[in-house]
Amino acid sequence: MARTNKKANGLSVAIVALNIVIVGIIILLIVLVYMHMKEEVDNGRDGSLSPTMTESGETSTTTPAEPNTQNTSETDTPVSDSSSTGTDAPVSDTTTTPSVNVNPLNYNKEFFKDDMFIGDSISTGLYLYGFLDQDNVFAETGLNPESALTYEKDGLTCAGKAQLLQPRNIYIMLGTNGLAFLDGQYMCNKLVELIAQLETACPTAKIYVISIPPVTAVHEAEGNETMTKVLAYNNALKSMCQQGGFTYIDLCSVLQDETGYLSANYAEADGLHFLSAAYIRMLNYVEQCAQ
Amino acid sequence: MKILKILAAALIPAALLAGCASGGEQVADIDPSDAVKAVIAEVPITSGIENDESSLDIFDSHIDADTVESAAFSLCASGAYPDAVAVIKCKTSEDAAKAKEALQDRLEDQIKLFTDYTPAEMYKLEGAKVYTKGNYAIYIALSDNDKAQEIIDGKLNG
Repeated sequence: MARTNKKANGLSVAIVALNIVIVGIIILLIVLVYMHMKEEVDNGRDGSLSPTMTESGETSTTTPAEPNTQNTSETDTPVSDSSSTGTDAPVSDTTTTPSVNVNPLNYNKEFFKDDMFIGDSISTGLYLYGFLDQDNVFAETGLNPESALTYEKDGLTCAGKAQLLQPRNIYIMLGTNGLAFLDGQYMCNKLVELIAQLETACPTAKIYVISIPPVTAVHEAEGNETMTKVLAYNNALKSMCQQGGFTYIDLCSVLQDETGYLSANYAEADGLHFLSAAYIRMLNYVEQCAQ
Repeated sequence: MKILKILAAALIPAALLAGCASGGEQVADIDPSDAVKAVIAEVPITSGIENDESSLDIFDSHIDADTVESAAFSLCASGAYPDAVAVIKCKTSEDAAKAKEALQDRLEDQIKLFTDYTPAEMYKLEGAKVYTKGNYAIYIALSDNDKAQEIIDGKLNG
């Protein structure tokens, strides 16, 4: 009897041990399968990520422009040299709504691939919207003709960047940020200094001075940047260009509406910066001038 | 009993490893683009434009692209406002910590630029959120930073 019990006890321990081993193996298998599945899910997610920008669908959000390489059908008379008379009417319905509905097919990104834009926060939009590569733009919030002489971005002044890039054309659009506290003639003198720096840095580049853009009536009412100041500064710029032999581009006229203010088609909510439609118009116009 | 001890010694670490598979902090595996879209649906950005890791350069954060697995960000493309949100999924939590430092530097640059430029917008930067969660580095400078953080954390917490 005792011998039978001992035998039964021995069998019972063996069965329990076997069960535990089986459970252990099952747990290990589950862990392995879980880890394998997780790896597959991660890989699958990586593979589905688009390398391009995606459209959000939100009304306040748009995707960057995808320009084509063809120039389009805009028919303005560009104003180059120093004899501006730009009087274009504001542009077509394709650019009248906020950024989400912009037709990106009417400027030529390829044309600007060897060029460089210098400007303030307005010019940052050239690459933030995706119209140009960041390499083709030296722009910073708050930049004005005085600070542009010494301001460094990523360790380079704009002349330093120009020296590095050796652009074919350089377009300067600066002055809006100084309107409230700098004298217009003083800013023009600083621009002459800046142009001298740029000419030394890249003697073969053709340098264009772009007028500062208009503001909206609502923005004007805030008092800092008014159309009177904008037009006075642009006149001073034009005279500076005539005296210095630089080419002046009258973008201001192109962006004005029939009342002389920045067209609502182009104006950001602050009445000073640009909606994406304005950049398309700007690039199209600048290209015509540079050609 | 000896077998039990051996099995326990083998299985308990395995179980612990399985539980910690996500690397210390329990963070859900999310698509950064989904998180950014969810934020801007609730806290819109004027003239906002959405980008992914291929355009990280224009976010001016100098994050090492080699440390980034995927990313999404939205910012005000007109340059008028400092609004921006970024969710950056790094390869490791150490990479995320470095990305956070870069984002913090970006925030400080933005504060310098906007202090005199548009003082009325400074509340977005003064209340900005820059932090990490697991392998994710997050930057929020919007009109409602708390709401945006709540949305992103809600996704990361699973």
